Amino acid sequence: MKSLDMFLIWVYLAAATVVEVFLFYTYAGDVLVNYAISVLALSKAIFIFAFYMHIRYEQRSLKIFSIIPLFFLLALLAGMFASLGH
Amino acid sequence: MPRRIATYSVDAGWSSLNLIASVGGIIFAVSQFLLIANLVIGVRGRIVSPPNPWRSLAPEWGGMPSIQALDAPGMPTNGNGSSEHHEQHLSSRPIALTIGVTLAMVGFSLLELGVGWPVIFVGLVVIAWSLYGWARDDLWSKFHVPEEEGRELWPFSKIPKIKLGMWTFLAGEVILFSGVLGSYLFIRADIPRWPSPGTIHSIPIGLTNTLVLLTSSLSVVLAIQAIRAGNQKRLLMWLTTTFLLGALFLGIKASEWADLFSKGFWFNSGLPGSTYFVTTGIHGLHVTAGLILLAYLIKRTMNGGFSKENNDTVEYFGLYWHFVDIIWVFLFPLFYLL
Repeated sequence: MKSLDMFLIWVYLAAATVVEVFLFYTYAGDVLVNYAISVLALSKAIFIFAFYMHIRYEQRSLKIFSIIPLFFLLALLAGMFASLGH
Repeated sequence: MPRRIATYSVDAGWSSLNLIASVGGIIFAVSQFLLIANLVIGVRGRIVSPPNPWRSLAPEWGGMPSIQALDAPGMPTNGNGSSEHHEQHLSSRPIALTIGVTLAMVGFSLLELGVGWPVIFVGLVVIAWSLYGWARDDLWSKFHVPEEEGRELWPFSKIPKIKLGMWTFLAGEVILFSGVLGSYLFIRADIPRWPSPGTIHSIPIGLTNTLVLLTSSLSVVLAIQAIRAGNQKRLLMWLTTTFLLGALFLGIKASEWADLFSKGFWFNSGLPGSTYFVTTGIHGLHVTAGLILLAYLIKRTMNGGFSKENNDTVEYFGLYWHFVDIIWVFLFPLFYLL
């Protein structure tokens, strides 16, 4: 990727961070805003993972390998939240 | 329901299962003698195994020459008479590092007995010695892993081994932070009362630190692009920029911690305190480790250690740094905004 593309991705990352804070100050406490902030954080992570870590352009085997730990993460979270209140 | 049961009562109805598990445990314990016997016989050398005892068709057993074979006459040498392959990919420092870490951890576990600190000190000395030697060995390219041929069945055959190793390491890091962040999420979900966002942690400071770390990710990307274009001066500039941004992040974080301490918000200030300090502390340690690596990369760049053809180390460092960035991308909203 070109340097300009990398810079544009940084612009998105910075802008999304500022929007997160703007949403917090404007609509603090709103459940929907919490979801919006979470989605923005997730989108930033995906952008870094896909473009800065170059995984979008890697071979299929490495792409699959790189997301395997996420399934363990999801399993852990599912187990944790299933045990809430017990 | 109790978490641990020391004695099984008959009423529980688990006696049979307990008996089966106990018998299994005894069989397993006895089986260890087989391992010890194998080791003793192997060390005494009465039975020498053939080169491929498993009759495996895999390249490491079948096609590749052994390290001893690489020393044989006719194999490529580096001019000093020793085998080039043998010398290039052997460094004892990673193993020494694990021994040092183990010693330090054992020392921590011995603190209550009053003999912990000397063991920790020895462990730290071994760690420092290993890291110094690791850097030196890397400067001498001892970590070059020869790529093997004939691995068509291996799905990662076209991916450099060290790159695959880096992704494996990052997978372990995902699990580490999963535990830490998962615990925090569980606590937040389980406890309805929690300090409102903005009451303990300064959101402008968190925002500034996030932007600093995101910018450092961009500078790493630009560093990789610079050296891939063969521009060592720009590589040095962007690596130095990354170092300064990482140091700025840590400086801001340290001042933030100091401010919280002065307000009486400490590690033991309940779950909001312990979760925050442990999580951001572990993340801060990762940033610190990144800065140490960066210092090494900067020194190596100044020595002309990277070129258009030889820049993989910078790329692998970039993977680590971006991962640390991704973790912060989640930490910021979780601790400051939600």
